[in-house]
Amino acid sequence: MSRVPVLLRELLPHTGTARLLTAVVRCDETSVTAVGEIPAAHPLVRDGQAPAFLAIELGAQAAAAMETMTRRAEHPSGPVRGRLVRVRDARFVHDTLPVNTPLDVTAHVVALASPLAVYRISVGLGGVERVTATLSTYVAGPPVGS
Amino acid sequence: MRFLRPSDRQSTFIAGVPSESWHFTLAANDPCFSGHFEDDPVLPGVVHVAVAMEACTLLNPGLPALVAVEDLRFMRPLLPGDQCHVAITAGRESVSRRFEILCQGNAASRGVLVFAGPWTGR
Repeated sequence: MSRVPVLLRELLPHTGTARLLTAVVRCDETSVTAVGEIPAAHPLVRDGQAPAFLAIELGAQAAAAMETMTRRAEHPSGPVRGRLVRVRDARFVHDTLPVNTPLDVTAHVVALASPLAVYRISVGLGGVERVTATLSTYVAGPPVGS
Repeated sequence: MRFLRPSDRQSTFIAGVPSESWHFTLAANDPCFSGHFEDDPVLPGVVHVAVAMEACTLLNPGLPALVAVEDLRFMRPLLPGDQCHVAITAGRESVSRRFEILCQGNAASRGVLVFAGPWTGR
């Protein structure tokens, strides 16, 4: 499952400006490394800057892409649609993120009890971490490993 | 302001704690629903934070930078047309504020926003 070039539309149900992830670089059962970009036309962008908390959505999309890839290996299906149920300890180094700029996105599984999963996510720019958080998601459907 | 109107502000008490709140309606054609998701639109979780930040900005136009979001929970998805209520109360520290968004009396989300410095307003 590592370094598989994939179409994001096959991994995420998000479309248009709502889809922030642009590429999955690497993915295995416990982590995903991806690239994301916030379009200038995103509805939360103001004066050419995005609020840093939008990185939570980037991390959630990376986690969702990983979830789809993991499940697809066992149950061929379309994008997994999960729900973000909790965010803990989200930290922002700056209060904004640049738009139309590639951002490094990672998500690591820290706990899994299907349908619940907990991920530690980070969003960085140019190798410098800008946002970290712990996300909990709920995904209905066949559990991983079933 | 995208979601809130300054004139809709209400000062109330929640469990004896002073609270500032606003009613708002999520327009069915709000661009935040676009693409999230095409056949079943749901307000993205980060937009709950955006609404709370808008309320904080109305309370304190010189709002310090947001440096953290702690213990944010989503209990109920918000859908196009939902009529909602956002309430802001003081946090445990002078640099934090609690928020809660309700829809039809049920909590949709609640969390704690932490800012880079203490507030000059309420």
